[in-house]
Amino acid sequence: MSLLRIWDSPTRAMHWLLVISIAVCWWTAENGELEYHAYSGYVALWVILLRLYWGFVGSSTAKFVNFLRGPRTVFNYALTLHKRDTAPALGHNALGAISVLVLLASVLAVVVTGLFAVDFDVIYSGPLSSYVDYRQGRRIARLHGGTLFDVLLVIITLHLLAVSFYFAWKRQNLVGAMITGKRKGDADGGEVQVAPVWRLLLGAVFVSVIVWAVTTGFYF
Amino acid sequence: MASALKQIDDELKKRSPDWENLIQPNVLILQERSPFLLKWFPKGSGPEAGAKTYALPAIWQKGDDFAKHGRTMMAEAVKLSQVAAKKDNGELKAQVIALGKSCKACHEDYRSPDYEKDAEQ
Repeated sequence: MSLLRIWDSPTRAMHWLLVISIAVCWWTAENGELEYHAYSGYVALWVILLRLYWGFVGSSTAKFVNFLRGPRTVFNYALTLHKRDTAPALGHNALGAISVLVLLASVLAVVVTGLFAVDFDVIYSGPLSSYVDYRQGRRIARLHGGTLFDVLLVIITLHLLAVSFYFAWKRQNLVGAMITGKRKGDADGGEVQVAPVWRLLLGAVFVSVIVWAVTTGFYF
Repeated sequence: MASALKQIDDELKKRSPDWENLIQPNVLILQERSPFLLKWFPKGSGPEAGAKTYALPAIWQKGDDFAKHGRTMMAEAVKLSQVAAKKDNGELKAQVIALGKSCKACHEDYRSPDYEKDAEQ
């Protein structure tokens, strides 16, 4: 048994940055700090877009093609859930892969609706609110802070429950691995193959330009 | 009125807003309609009248405070038209926010939160 590298630093940084930005989004919304709510929303958008990019060209355990599995594999994996001594996956397991997709999609849905949301008194509206009328914008705003956010909270709760289950039942410390990037194990399953830094920087610049363009409402 | 304010807000997001056709007419709508507010809730039209309303009873109970907020809003609407005449994006944006806040002041204390929920159906 030795320590294996399974997550690269960009993936870990994006994970925790997303956690922080969602927490800040939530707090600022609850406390009516809508100016800062918009900034934290832009950070969440930036992270999500960069994570999607990294899912195509990033390190091995971050790439969708390496962790998304077909229904049969997911089903077979689910059948082994009750066993305590199953070997941990190199990166995401077959069920966790679905969790990643659903989390990314629901955060994206909340963030994108926020871009079009209109404030009841038109004090703070999303940067793309000029593309919808007042009534549409209000409907989107209620979807943003209502149904979609509630769904996101449910999914985050499931995510936390799953991590707790792996810790308590399977003795696998997923949180620790997402902080250090490493877990105990035998090296025969291989380690993460880290993608070059230039590729991350290229993506970061590309994504920053997109987010900046969104904040201007595409009025250049 | 919110829709008029939004159209001004939308226009101000653009590099070169259409002052004549999109900002000024909406500024005028807000200035002309703002004095109506204080006439919409006369004495006797409160809960005792039995009509379905999203206006909270506080409007009639704390009429002075409501009227004070109403006059602030009217003053902000007048100021909006003065600022709009200067055709300065930043300054008008700040006044849109100031007017919006004066709308919100009453909407928070004097309007039922069910207003939008029911309007939806």
